[in-house]
Amino acid sequence: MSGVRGTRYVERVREATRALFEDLLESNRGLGLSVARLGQELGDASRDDVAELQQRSERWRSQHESVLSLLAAVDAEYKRFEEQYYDVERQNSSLASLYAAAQALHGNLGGAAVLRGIQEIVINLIGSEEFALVRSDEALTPLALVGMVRKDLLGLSPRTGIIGRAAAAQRPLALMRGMAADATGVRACIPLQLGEKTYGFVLIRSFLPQKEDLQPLDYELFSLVGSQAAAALFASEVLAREGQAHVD
Amino acid sequence: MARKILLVDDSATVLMMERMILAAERFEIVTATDGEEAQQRARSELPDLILMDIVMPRVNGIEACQAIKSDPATAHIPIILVTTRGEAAALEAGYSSGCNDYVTKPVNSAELLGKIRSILGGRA
Repeated sequence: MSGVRGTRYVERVREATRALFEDLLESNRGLGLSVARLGQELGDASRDDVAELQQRSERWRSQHESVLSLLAAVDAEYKRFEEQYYDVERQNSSLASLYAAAQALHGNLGGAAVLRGIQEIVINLIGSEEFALVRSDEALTPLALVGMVRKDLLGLSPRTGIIGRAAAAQRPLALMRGMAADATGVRACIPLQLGEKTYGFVLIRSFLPQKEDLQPLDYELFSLVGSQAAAALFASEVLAREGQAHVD
Repeated sequence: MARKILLVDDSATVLMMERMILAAERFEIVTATDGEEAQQRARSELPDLILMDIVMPRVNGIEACQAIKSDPATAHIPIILVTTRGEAAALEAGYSSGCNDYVTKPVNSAELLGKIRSILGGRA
């Protein structure tokens, strides 16, 4: 290679290298700009996405709270319906008991049947096996005695303790669970009223051990027995006398 | 189809009260007034459940329960005994006779219906 041709070759290489270098610089600048632009674009997009996600999250949170609130309302309504259902069930049961009790008192005009009806009410509906049905005379003459307390309930006076108070008030009186009985030992006294006249008493010495405290239905039954049993017993006695008169 | 319940009690008052409580739940009701009749009705009616008082004339509830549970034709019928006394000894006698459950007097309708639903399951 001559010296001239060698110099030209070096110059061409140098020129090509410079061009290449300039291309590389240009490309580098372009890439830099692209990266910067992309970065900016990506940054803006991320901020938008975050904002949108926040909005969605806020909407979902709000919807979630609404659903929870709705669920709580539905739950409360369900509980209200449940209570109403049980209330209706209780009322139905009470009505069934009262109807059965009224039927027991008035379903038969025979004296023995009426007394049996009263006993069935006290044993099965009120819940006592220790009671007595007595007249309101001074000796509290037994109409019927049940259970183990017949001796305990003989010899009481219609003027003492809870019996006297119930007779004076002409309405049933009963001791709540835990209250001590007076000297009569009677826990509930139901005067059997025939208008203003006290025909007799149901004296309850104790309730069945599993019976919890007295319930509103018990007072309804006391009241029903107090107001209806005397009329049923009186009617049966009148009927018996009439029958006897016809026989005589 | 309504589930059939056999009520057994010698007290007309109790039968009437139980019938009213259960009829409101759309059960079909058949009745018997002593343990002997209960056995006959259990065989002829094949009820889905028997609710039976313990203290009854002739054949009492414990004896009737034993007889019904010993009879292959009626052994599958669940029996709830109604007891006046809720003490352990009385309950032990009831369970020994093969009863499935018991309720005490005075019958609490919510408790009774709960036990019947529990025994009859979703079919009640």
